[in-house]
Amino acid sequence: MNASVHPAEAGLNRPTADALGALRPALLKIARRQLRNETWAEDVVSETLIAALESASSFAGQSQLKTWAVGILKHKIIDHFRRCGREIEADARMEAADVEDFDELFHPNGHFVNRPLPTWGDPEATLAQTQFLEILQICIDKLPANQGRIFMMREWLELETADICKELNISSTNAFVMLYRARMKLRECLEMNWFASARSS
Amino acid sequence: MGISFMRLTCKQAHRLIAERMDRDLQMMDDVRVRLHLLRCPCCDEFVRQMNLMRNAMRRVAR
Repeated sequence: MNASVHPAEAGLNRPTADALGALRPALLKIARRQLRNETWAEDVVSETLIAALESASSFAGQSQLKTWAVGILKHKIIDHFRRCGREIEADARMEAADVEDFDELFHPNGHFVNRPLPTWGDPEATLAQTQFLEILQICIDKLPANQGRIFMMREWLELETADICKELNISSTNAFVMLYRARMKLRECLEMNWFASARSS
Repeated sequence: MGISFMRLTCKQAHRLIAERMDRDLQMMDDVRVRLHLLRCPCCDEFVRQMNLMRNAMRRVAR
């Protein structure tokens, strides 16, 4: 620590090992959702906590401690994909080959069975509800492993599709198919478990 | 010659709307989707649902 910094200023916001350790369960939950593998999740969370402790003095205290730690976790997860992406590529290719057309949504002529599509109403009102965000995460957990993984890479890690393809060594066609399916299933899960009941109550 | 080659079914439109979240569509597909959305409130709602899911993801786990 730099001696010229006022001690109160330097020490005030520096997170303790205890404070970081307390975040472990929350970080593990996030890592599991992204990686879908217990060992990998444990590994990246340990790496995250070590890195957080090592760089504790760089924690500015402006953001929440959890937000800061999740930022480190994201980097560790991307590193993990860089190292181990190939382990999941074959799996991903098989999942993309499964036939799944969401035909129940459409008539054989390609148009909707349900017209109009039930509305989801005001997006801001929905987003303000923490319970909705919890349902969303449960729905992600229910996706097939690779669809959940790739959806999280795209929407939570906010990676470009080209980068995802590189990390997982899959074709862009496979990536688009898996993302399409993930989005369709999530939409369906949210419709059934949130919007439909909100409408009827 | 009609403009039927520009027409999309809802199923085709859905696929392109979802893929538009992940890649730039080719110009013709982009125009097809826009034309479809002008006259299909269902697919228009689907666009809003896709956007809501993206915005929700910006708020979880941070």
